[in-house]
Amino acid sequence: MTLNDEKSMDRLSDSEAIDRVFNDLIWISKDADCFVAVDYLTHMAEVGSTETEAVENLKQAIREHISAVKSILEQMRDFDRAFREEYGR
Amino acid sequence: MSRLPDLPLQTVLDLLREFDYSEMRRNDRYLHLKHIDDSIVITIPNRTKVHGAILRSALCQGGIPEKVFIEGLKGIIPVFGKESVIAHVDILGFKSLLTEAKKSESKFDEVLNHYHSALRSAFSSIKSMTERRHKFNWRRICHVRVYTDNLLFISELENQTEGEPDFGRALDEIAMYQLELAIRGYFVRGGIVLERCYCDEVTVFSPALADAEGIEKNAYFPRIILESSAKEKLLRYLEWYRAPAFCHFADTIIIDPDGTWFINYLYVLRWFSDDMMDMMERHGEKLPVSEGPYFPAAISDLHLHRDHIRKRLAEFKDNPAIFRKYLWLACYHNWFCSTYFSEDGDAEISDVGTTLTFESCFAAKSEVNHNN
Repeated sequence: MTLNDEKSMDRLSDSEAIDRVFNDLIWISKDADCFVAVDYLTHMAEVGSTETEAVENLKQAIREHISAVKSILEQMRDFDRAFREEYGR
Repeated sequence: MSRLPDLPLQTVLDLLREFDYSEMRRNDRYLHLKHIDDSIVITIPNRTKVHGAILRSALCQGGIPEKVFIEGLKGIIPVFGKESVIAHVDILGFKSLLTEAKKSESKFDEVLNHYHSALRSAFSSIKSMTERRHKFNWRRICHVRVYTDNLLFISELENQTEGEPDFGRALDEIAMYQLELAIRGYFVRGGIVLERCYCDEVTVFSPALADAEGIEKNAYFPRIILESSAKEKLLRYLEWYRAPAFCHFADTIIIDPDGTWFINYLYVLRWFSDDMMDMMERHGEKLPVSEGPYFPAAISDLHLHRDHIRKRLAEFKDNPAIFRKYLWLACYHNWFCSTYFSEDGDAEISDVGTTLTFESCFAAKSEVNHNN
């Protein structure tokens, strides 16, 4: 698969894409009784009792975040479409 | 980077509301907040307590400056004091300034404007430095408070290398402030102590303030002295340096023949400045620096300093107690000129009738070593 291969990229689910894109950007540190995982691309952070748990929680948080952003974008698109239909071109 | 506190979720939501973020949706695991203009989404875990790292992540996601957010937190979370450099200084002749201002309305405006512009300019000189520091770490702030003739500087020390860089910077800022006031004719005296302190825009709290008046009286002459706590700290730092050339404090702090350590504020005139850069550009490779330290702006400031002292000496020639203070200042000025600006024979104050020789604080380090 190459980066230009759109079809191959389409086959990736959100979670697979997150795994591929974010793995190298996650930074883990120990804080008192927990581990903190921070993603430097989205600035998101999550905690967990182990490193793996912190990373898994972070990936889940990123997925949730992306879905929230998507839903806002859809709302905006719907609003834009409705506005155009209402007031014509 | 310092750790942010863990906070209850509701507190975080209340504070984020002040930055126009409202709850968009939540499930059992996550909570999403959106900005009023729909442009940004913040996602945080839906737990009763928000971990400090997650709080920082929320602020990053929302583009909210940490410093501004934390200001809103004060009063909600407990605050802590930190070992700080505290300088308490007073402006000489402030009472006579007030008496002068009382004479007439126009005199009041004249005195006020002169005093205000001197303070404003002194503050601006350290403001740029303080702002630069804020960029890297908002917690390290040099606070300056002015009340009647009292100025209070507070600068927190970080733990890195026992606070040496912060200590040095605080002394530089105080020296800059003192110099700016001096070249406008306001001379100050005071002392520097190291003490635990908390300071923000509503309060200043430190045991050192209990003896603020005593600190400044110890200085006696128009100088800012290092009290024993600050001196001990500096001696500790000096131990780390082998030669004065590598030690920032070697020229910044000097010792009076009476054994008092004080800030050599005129040394600020020798700092690398825009003035020097201009000179270097004009002269190309043939740097004036290599020919001898002659910098026009520094020289004109030095002449201003000389003129103010001359004026005061003439003004108080019949008042021995005050005259003595300005005589000491004249000696310091002359010593500085002969040590650092020897090319400019015009900068010294003639007919002082006495000379004093000051030595670098680095010399004290050698003595300590020798005694040991």
